[in-house]
Order: sequence, then structure tokens, then C-alpha cells
Amino acid sequence: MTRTIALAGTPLELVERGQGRPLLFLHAGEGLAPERPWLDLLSRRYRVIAPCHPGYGNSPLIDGGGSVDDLAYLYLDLAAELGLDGAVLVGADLGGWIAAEMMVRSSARFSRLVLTAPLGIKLRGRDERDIADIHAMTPAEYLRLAWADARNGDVDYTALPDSELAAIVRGREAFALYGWKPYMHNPRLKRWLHRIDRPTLLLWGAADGIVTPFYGEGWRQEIAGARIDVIPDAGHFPHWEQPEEFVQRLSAFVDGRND
Amino acid sequence: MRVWYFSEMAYHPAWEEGLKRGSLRVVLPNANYDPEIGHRLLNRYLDEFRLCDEVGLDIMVNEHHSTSTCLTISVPMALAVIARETKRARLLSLGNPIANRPDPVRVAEEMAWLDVLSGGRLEMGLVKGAPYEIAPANSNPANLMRRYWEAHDLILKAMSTTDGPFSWEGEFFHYRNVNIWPRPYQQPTPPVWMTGLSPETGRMAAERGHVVGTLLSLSAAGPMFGGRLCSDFGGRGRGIHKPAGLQLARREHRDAQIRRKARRLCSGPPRQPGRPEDRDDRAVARERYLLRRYAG
Repeated sequence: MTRTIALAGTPLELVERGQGRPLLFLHAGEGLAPERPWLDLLSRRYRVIAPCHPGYGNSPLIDGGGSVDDLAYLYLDLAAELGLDGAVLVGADLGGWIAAEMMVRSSARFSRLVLTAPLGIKLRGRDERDIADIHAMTPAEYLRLAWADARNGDVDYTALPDSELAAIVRGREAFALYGWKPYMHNPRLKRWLHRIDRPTLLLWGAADGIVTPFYGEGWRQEIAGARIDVIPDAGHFPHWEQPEEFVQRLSAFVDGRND
Repeated sequence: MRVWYFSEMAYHPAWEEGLKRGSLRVVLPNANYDPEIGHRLLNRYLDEFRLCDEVGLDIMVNEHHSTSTCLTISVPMALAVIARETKRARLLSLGNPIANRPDPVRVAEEMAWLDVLSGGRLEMGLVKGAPYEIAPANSNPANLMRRYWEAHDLILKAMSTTDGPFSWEGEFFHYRNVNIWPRPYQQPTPPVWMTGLSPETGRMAAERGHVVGTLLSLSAAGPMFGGRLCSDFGGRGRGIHKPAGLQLARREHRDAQIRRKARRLCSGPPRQPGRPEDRDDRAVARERYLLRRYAG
């Protein structure tokens, strides 16, 4: 089911599927892609709640602009509005950054955190880039770095109707808005990751060339008790390239250590 | 008709290598730039601007960054030299890429200073900047237009306010005390120019009485200069009565071809039925198109 709700004075498009333990899924910079299999696979086990970030899908930007801070507060409001309790918070790429920003503010409504190749922190020196600059590479380079098999990410834009093209462009514009400068991270976030006080799983694609498993190791060290699980034959979007493996590892973590 | 001489002050010796590598700008390493040749070229270009003043041409300067196509990296720096070496030419900055500038009040100060130095010869272009300026400036492209208009409003307020200081707490820019010294020679501000392509830009410029120009894109900018806009705003006495344009002609064209091309360019947007005064606006528009010849 897809519906639009008003939160903090801004409309938000939500996809909701399945029953059971609530799972809030925060999508990657690529967009939600609800027609792809991972939301359905998750919804066989969980009550999946998946918003379109402001600027994506039918969610307008917050006040015509906004930042990742705004998204974090918006989704904390969403969790309160839906009365979530003991929910699983899952975020991929941009969504992982947002999820971490939420958890350092309040983890009260969540029991588990799953971050899939999150963006959002800075590890190395000022003249080293942790996150590949997706805005400064050719489409072919991007496909090579972001996907284990470039064919999985290749889109034939000439075959898409104008409405879908417009949605893709709007999403890219929003992604640039949230992560242009500093590039895809908050310089202050790493300082506060110790506040994440829920069991945390970091899922990484073995072939991720956007943020390498080295970057994942940096996250692991900052979150007490976090573990990292590397999925073979997957790039930066393991939920997209290996959806069944993604869901299997996620549910093993979430249900295997159920409280 | 006023004719403006414009040179990007190119570093053409690197073009062959740049073309071989696929780009003349942004990613072409400056190892392909020879400081000694650059020194000679820069001084030659500034001499040419001085000559323009002697022969009665007005002068336009722009800026780009990280590129072999344009050695001018700062409009105010170039115009500071030119203002001292010229006496009569109008000096067009086209312009300051204000959405890429972190400090709009600094822009207002520099432009006011130039206007004072030149005795009121400044024409002040406030431009958005080409897409390939985003990388060197690292300015966020997603909110560029909001930043542009906030900077635009702040610059004009800083230049025209005489009973400051005033404070500014906007979406992008924050100042405790804005109170620029010197203020511009031309009161309240030098003439303002914008560039653009869209009818929306045309409308915004017309409402403010700005000159609106298009560079290398006259055909795409047709709707911006279109008859309907001229009629709409002309009806209220605020039409786009100050259009400008620039196009390229290739050096290898024969003179006759260049003249033909110039005549075609200067024919302007298609005529629309309208009131006589609207047609006058368009006649002015046609006369203001500028033909550029590549100097080799």
C-alpha cells in the first residue's frame, strides 16, 4: 500500500507492506524502487514501512530545501506518529547515513539497527576521499564501482516515460542537495556514533567501490558491539544485487538474537 | 547600438592537448600551462582592452576557473587593471558568478570600488555560472537558484543602502553589520545585467529593469526574449527593453559570410503582433545583439 501522510507540515509518501515486527527501511540515494524484490522479501517477515525521502517519488522537499538533519527528525517524528516500538531500523547508502543520525539522537523506538554500506562519516585525512565522487565520474565508471555486475545497475533511459525520467532527475537533485558539501558526510557524526546503543549489523557488498569494506570497518569500530557481514557478488547495493542474501542475513541478525 | 569587445583571455597553446584528452577545462592538469607564455598572453590581452578604449569600443570581461579557455579567474581583478588603463569605455562585468561566491558583501564592495575607480563606468553582471563552474567552486547545484537570488538581493541592498549598517540572516548568508565603503559612484547601483535562457529569467529581469543577455544560445533563448514577454511587461512599461546577445563567428568565414551571419543573428526573435511600443522594444533588442569574431 502506498499513501501520503503529513508530518511536521510536510507531505511524505510511504510504502507499507506486510505484518509483524515493524521495520523502517530508509532507501539509498538511488531511490526506493518499490517494484524491486527486496521490500516484498522483507514484508514476508516484517511490517515494512518505507518512505520516499523528501525530493524523491511524490515526497516534496522540506521547505524547498532541507538537510540530512531534517530527514533524521522527520523520521523520528514518523516513528512516533506510527507508534513504533522495538522496530528494526534499516538504512542503505544515504538511508544508512540518515539512520545513524536518527540513532545518535534517539534510539528509543528501535531495537536493532542495520546499516547497508552507509554514507555519512569521514575517516581519513583531509586530502583523502572516503566516498567515491559519484558526481564526477562517467556513467560507465559509476556502474563499474557501484555494482558487482554492471548490468544489474544499467538503466535504459531511452525506454522510460517522461514521468519516470523526471522522478529520477528529481531524486538526483535531492541527493546532491543532501550530500554536496561536505561530500556525503557530516563531519561531526563520527564523534557521536558511540550513542548508538542498539545491536548493530553492518552489511557490505564485497565488490563495493563507492565505500569499500575498509570504510565499513571504520563504522564498526565506532559502534559498540557492531559486527560487519560482507555479502559476495554484491557492490554498493547488496539489497539490490543480492536481495535474498540481504534479507536472509538481515533476518538472521534481527531474529536470531531476538529479545 | 553599443558594441562590446569581449575576450576570455584564453590560454590557447594548451587546446591541442586538451582536445586530445577530451576536455579543455576542469580536469586538464595545469602542467599544460607554461607560466612564461601565460605572462605574455595575459599582458597582450590587457593591451588589447586598452586599445578598445582608444577605438571607441566598450569592454566586457568574464571569468572562469580551472580552464585553458579563460585565464581570467577574477572579474574584479581584471577590471581593476582595465579601469585604470581606459578612460571612456563602459566596463561590463559579465560577470560575478554570485551563486558560487561565499561572500556576497565582498562582491558588493568590489563592484562599488570598481565603479568609484572608473568614475561610474561599471555595468554589473550578476550571473549564475556555467555548469562546469560547479566543480571548481564546489557550490551545491541543487539549490543554486535560491542562493543566486539571495546573493542578488543582498548585493543590491548592500550597494544601495546609505543609512546602514543593516543585518542579514538569510537561508545562505549571514552578516551582523552590512555597511559598505565606498558605495558605488552610480546611484543607487550600477546598471545590472543578468544572463539566462528561460522565460522565467526573462520575467525576473524585466520586473527589475535589468539587462538580460544570452551567450552563444540565441536560438534556445528565443522564449526569453519572446514577443509575449515583451508585450506582457511592455504593457506595464517594464518590458525586456534591455536585451543583449553574443554569438560566435568562425575566423575562417569569409567577410561576406560573417556579415551575412551577423545580419541573421541581428534579425532577432520572430516578430509577434503587438502594440507599436512593443515593436520598439524588439527593435532595440535586435540592435543590441553582439557579434563576436574569434581572434586567433
